[in-house]
Amino acid sequence: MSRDTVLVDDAHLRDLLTQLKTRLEGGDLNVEEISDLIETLAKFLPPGAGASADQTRIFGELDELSHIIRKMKSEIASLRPDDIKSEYIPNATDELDAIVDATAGATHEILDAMDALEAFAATLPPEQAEIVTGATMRVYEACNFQDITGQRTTKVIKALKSIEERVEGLVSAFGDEIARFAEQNPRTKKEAEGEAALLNGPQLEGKGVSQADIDAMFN
Amino acid sequence: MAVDPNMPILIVDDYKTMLRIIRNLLRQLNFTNIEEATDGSMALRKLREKPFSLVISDWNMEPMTGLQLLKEVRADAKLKDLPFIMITAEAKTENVVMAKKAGVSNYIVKPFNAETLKGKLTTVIGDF
Repeated sequence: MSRDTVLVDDAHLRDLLTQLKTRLEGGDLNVEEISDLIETLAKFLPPGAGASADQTRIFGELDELSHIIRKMKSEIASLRPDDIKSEYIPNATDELDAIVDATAGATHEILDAMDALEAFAATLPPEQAEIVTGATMRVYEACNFQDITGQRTTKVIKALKSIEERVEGLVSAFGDEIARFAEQNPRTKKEAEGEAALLNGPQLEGKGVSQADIDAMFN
Repeated sequence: MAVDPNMPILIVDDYKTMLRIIRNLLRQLNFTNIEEATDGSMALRKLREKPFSLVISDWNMEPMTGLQLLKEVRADAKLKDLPFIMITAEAKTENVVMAKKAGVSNYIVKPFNAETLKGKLTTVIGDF
């Protein structure tokens, strides 16, 4: 390597390190670029016997770091975070929303029935009316559960949305790697067969056939 | 002095089912003059429009929480002495301490039963 080349390379290296520092400080560096940068940096070290012990150690560590990043990228891609984001989390939140809606609907039905019972109790002799209103009061108390389960479910939905945001970060950081992995590893998910393939319920609102559709099949 | 079962009570909760449960429980305790609001700001508007004798409010509501409503009530010269019961699923000590500091009259944790509601009402407004 000539003295001129070394000078040019030193300037290039300094420039590269300055850019790296600025982008690291600004959080503007994606994972794809990190291993490329490490490999570029490693090229600045003198090869073979020309390298000092420190330079050889640094080269080895950079090489190892680059290898770790590549392995990590590949492992994260193999987890298919794009599936988690596009399929599993939305499905889970839809199911939870459906639980909240269904229990709210059922609670209102129960309360309607209790209102009717209370109205009926008003027509009864006092002793009997007291028994009926005592029972309806216990039902009202029990219906508290719906508010609590609703709030707990909302907390779970919020947690899932927070996970979704983080997964989205992973998907955008490893997008190319994930796409490569998906192309090289087409889905091998074993589809359920026979009667097992029929067990997909309960269906979300509007996703299954209605009772009217079923009745029509029998007519 | 005996409690008037016709005293105006404002119940505040963003959850319609809960409003219905509290209303029905109050009705079974013979209270008949019950109005509803679905968040703190609506409640505050109603409180400033006409007199109420008691507020029973949830905590976790948007845009104005029950705690913010309580603070507004206590900061309002005309409303500051209004009995205010918080009924909420917020059951941490710091919540209760915060509500007490803000001037809550009593505090009920969800889920609750009619006996608890009756007991707290007695403590706050007297025997009925």
